[in-house]
Amino acid sequence: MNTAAIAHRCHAANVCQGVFRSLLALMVLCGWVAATATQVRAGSKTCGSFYLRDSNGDVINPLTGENSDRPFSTRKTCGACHDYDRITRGYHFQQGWDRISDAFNGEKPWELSDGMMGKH
Amino acid sequence: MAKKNNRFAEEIDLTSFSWITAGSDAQHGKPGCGGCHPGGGGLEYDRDGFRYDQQLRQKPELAALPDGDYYRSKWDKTGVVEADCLICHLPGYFFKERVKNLELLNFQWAIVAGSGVGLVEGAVKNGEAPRVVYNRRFFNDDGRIVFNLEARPDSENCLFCHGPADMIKRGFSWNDHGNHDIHNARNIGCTACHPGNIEHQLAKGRENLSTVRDDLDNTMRTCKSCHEVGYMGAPKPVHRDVRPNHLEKIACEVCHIPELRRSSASGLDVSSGKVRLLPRPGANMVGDELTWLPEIRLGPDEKLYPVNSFKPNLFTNKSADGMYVPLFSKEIAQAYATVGSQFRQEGAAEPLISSRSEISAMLGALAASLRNNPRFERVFPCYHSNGAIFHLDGTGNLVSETDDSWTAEPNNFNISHNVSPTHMALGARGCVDCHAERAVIFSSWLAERSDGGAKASVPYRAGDNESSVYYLNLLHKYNAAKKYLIPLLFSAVFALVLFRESRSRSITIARSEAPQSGRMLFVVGLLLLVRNISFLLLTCTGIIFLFNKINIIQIFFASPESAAVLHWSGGLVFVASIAGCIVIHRRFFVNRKTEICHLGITGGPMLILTMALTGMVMIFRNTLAAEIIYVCSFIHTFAAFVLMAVYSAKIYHETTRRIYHHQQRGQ
Repeated sequence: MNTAAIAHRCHAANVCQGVFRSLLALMVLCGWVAATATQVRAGSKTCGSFYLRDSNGDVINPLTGENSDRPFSTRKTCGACHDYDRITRGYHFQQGWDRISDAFNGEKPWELSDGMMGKH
Repeated sequence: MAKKNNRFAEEIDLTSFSWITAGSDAQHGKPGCGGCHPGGGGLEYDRDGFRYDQQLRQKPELAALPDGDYYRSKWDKTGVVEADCLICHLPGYFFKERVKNLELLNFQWAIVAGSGVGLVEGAVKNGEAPRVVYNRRFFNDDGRIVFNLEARPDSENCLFCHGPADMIKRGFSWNDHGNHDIHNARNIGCTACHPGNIEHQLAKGRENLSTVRDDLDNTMRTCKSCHEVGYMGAPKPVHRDVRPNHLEKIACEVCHIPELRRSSASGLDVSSGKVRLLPRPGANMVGDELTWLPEIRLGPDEKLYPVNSFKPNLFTNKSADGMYVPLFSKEIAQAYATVGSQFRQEGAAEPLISSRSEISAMLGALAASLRNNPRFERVFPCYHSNGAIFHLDGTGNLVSETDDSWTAEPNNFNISHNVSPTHMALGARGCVDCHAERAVIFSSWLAERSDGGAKASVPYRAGDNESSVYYLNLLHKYNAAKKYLIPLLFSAVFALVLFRESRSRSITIARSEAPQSGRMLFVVGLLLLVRNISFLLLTCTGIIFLFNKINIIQIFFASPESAAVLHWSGGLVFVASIAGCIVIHRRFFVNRKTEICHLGITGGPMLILTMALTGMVMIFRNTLAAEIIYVCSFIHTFAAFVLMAVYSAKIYHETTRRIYHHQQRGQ
């Protein structure tokens, strides 16, 4: 076997080895992504799992019976991670309440705001 | 809703407490005001910024005072309605359970019932203290709950509130094969066009009647913002057969929402003290299957928009200073209780009281029931219906007047959903979709209600008879004759000029007239060349505009706008070159009989002046009324074709004359 043929075979072996390594790395990566995805689905795709809390901020745990007859509060439950006060300044929540006034409209004194809370 | 500070209890209609359950009918799943209000804001804090339940526990006497937030309230027992994040973010939310619990005054518990993670036992309304039984199935072993929340709300969640409300206002429905929407069919959800930000301000359009946060109007994706750039694969419309000026004056919705297939409310009636929605004629109730055509009205941007023109029948009391103060439902109900048995409901779409005797009876009953009401210093009940005010005079006779009060202000709800596929849009079958005597857009004022056909029976599609739409259509009706009239005009002028030219001598420029001004003759020649090139450009673009060949415009000029700019720029160059010729003539060839600047035709200056004036007016078309543009356009077009015919005749005559002379010389 001449030198050129040996070099050619070595080169082919290197290419095969490279492809094999790449495939292995890809499989590991896919496995990691799948495992991570499974972890997320165990909670929920947006907020994971979390404790419900009542209006005092106390945990509600129906499995242990802790405060388990009390309604949960979104201010305390969702507000534990999210800025509840900032979110509720949105117009869907305010509906004119942030502008309501007894003197809102002098021409139509029965109109107290520009939203559904007070306009009608 | 009542003011915060009131003198006496009669001034209070709804407190913020009673507002929550007002209009609710849990048995039929109909939410009250608080059902659709997602909580937080005015359902959690009073007008002084105190949390209702805590404030009433500290000051229980507030419930006995005429306070618009606390009068006869039970906030201390019901708790407050905190912002219910799950209404929007939890697919499969049990909205009816929320409505039911609000009606039972279980304000604090409504979110539990709506989320479905637990059952609520007991009702504050029945004097009970509710308790929750959570479903353990939703909890992990560590007691944490798993909600399958969506960051972008599903359209189904939006529809809990916007479904019924917009059905009333607009005949809108979603996921409805009977009243389809092409975006819905393409699986595009509400948040694609109405995205929100971290502050939960959702992008909105421009609604005529809803005034909340108008500073956020037009923040949503519009038709253009998707269809001009192809966002989300939106097809880019070419509108080859639509005149560009139509796109300037008509909103997309006019053509692309030609009809709705669910009855909206055409008005409301409060004669019994309860709100009764009036369906459109032909439907038994709002939401019934019914094909109807939206009314068309001018928007604030002077474009035409489709709307549902909503006409409420209201009762007011006219105060001594002339103010029409709306009556509370309970005040109307009190009067209705004494005379209601006299009234007979005629039809679903008709108000309960319509005859003069019925109106008189109701106004008489109101006058009696309001007499001891401390809210009114002067008792003068009025009934507002269909553009008229009815009241009783001193002798008890019914008087009617034209209604110029606030109650007669137009209530036009914008129509922007239930978009049709392109092949169903107006104009898909050509101009006659609108511009024909029996076409849907203008049929109503011609046929009014007498035509009997389903489409023709819908009145005032194009607005009232005083509108510019009506006026323009009188002219537009004859657009179909354009293809015959223009060649006729052209041929007639061509023949006349040819006849006249054949009987006159040819004009030649005397070579001896310009020995000292040879350089200026070169300039004149250059100006004439510019004039002729610009004339050719004006002719070509003008003909393309006239026959609305948008595809040719796009090939040669990229867009109708750039073609229009090129057209009037060419016009300015044309006029300038002629003006240059005249100046040179006056300066260098004064007192000489010369024809170098002659336009070549008799009456040419007058025609060109007319075209220049009307053309210059139309440069500012965006700021002018439609009528002015139309008249200018008409004159401009007429003069242009006369001018073209004249020049064509002269060129033809000159060419044939030269060929004739050439042949004669050859012989």
